[in-house]
Amino acid sequence: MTVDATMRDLRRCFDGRVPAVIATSSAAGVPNITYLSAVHPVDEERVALSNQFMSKTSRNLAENPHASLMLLDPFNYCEYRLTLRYERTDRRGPVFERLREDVDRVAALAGMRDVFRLRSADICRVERIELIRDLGTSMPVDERGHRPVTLAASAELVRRISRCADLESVMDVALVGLDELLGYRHSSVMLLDEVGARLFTIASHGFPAEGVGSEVEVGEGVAGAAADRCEPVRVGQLRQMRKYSHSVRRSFEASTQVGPGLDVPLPELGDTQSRLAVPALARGELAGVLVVDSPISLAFDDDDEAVLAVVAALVAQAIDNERSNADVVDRGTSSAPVAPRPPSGEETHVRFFAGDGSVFLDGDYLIRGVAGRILWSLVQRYLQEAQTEFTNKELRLDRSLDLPGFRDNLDTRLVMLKRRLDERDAPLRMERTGRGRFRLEVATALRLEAHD
Amino acid sequence: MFDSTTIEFFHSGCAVLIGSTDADATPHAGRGWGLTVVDATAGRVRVLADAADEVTLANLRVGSIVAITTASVRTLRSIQLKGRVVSVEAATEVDIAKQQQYTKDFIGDIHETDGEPMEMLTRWSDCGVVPFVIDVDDSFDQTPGPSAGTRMAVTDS
Repeated sequence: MTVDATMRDLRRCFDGRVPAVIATSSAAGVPNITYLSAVHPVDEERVALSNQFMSKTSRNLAENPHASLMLLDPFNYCEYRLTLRYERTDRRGPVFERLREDVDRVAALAGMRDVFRLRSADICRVERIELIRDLGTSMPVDERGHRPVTLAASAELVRRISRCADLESVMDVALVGLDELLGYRHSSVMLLDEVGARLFTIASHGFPAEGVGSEVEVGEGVAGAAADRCEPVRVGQLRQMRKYSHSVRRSFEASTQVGPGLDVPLPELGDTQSRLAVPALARGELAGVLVVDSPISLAFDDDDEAVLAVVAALVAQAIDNERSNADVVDRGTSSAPVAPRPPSGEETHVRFFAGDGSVFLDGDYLIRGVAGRILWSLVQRYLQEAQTEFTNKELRLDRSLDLPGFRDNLDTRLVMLKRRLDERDAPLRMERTGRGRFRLEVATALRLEAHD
Repeated sequence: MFDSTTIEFFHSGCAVLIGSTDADATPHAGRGWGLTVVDATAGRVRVLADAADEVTLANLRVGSIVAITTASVRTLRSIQLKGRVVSVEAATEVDIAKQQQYTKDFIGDIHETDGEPMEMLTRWSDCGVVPFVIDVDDSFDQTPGPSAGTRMAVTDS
């Protein structure tokens, strides 16, 4: 027995956690049935169907406007069948753009933005909605996994951040506060690099591995997409999206339209289902992205976007302040050479590859790029000049670092390098000794080896 | 028509979808609950339709064309078969056993790969079945991507 239902009953069916099924037919009556990657409600009477590959579905709709669509509510397993009648195809406009966001997110996950694009949105009128399967009981609806966002908790987090004296403290306080006050257990901050091409992780909280220094291209993955568009990007069914995007990528590779490449690194949580990435902007410019993860599907909503936008703005402001004060150095101790502490009998082999600035400690990869070149410069000065006290200003004048002349990100690179050394429990550590200055602490003898 | 790898795929716990049409070429989407290759050389398969899906059952007229899409829950590899209905029959004990084994494999794959709760999946998949037999004329690679819809080569079994 089937029961009629309404579009309102379907609102949870469109999140993409369970793919929709569509049957169409040629004018001659030859049916076609397939999964659809994205279906969106347009209004109370219409839905939009995605078309990425000039599919048989679209061709059939052009000659026979009837279609049958099956949707499943992922929360209660109610299954619906919609009788559709094709009305038009959109290649631009608000409906197309909304559907394109879904497709772009999948493309970003698979690193295929250049080839996997929404071609059109087929708009269909919904003539009938039938409830065809109803388990009859209320289902275990997923919990959000974090407490409701309140103004009071948000205000307390803002207060805590505003007390911080430096960028590193801002990162720590913001991420710990997101957990303690608002229940976002897993979070990270990624910063934009000097040329605006990549994001690198500068701080994280609640992951098995901190992942400091990990990178992603702007435009790739959820964080990269948020940076690319300077808009929040939210996904609530990463597992399904990942499966779909990997399948599409394999298919593209088989057709030789893209090379094998690298998969965009996905969250380190292991079972991440939801991710929200919010751009951090200061003075209208992108500084980085604040990311929160959850193992629960559909964990984030508009309220989460709003509160994270506030925190992201504070983080961006802190980065901007750090840059503005780039040449400020606390008075006091001199940066003159200081005799290093006698190292232990152990030796650490430091290898540097000039090509990409990568540094390996005893054969283990540590870091690359600007941060790698900074470390190489520090250890050279340590060995050649016995220098252990450094200022940001003198590093900024070091041509070997190849820093851009404007907005060099040196301070954030130093924070990242310090955290990476701490994370790896390395025999080299950096300790902040004042604004714009730090000390290099070395626990073993060093053997340096440079490669082109 | 079907090689051993394809037969293995059909007999695994992949999703089964049934597309059918009425006399006016109005399409209808339905679910299947198991597919068995009866004759690999001739391309004859036996599909278990949902007994409660009255429209699909009405559309399964002998000689009518149906589309059957099978899709791996784990990889999304997908194949669509198109062929003509040879017969619609009453479910036998073999069919019931096939449905039980298929359902176990299918919802087991969903549970393992997508994390959906087993209790809900078990209840969702609980249904009666009506078997029908089709002779497959064509098969298409339906895996998401640029090659979706490509006609598959006929292979000797």
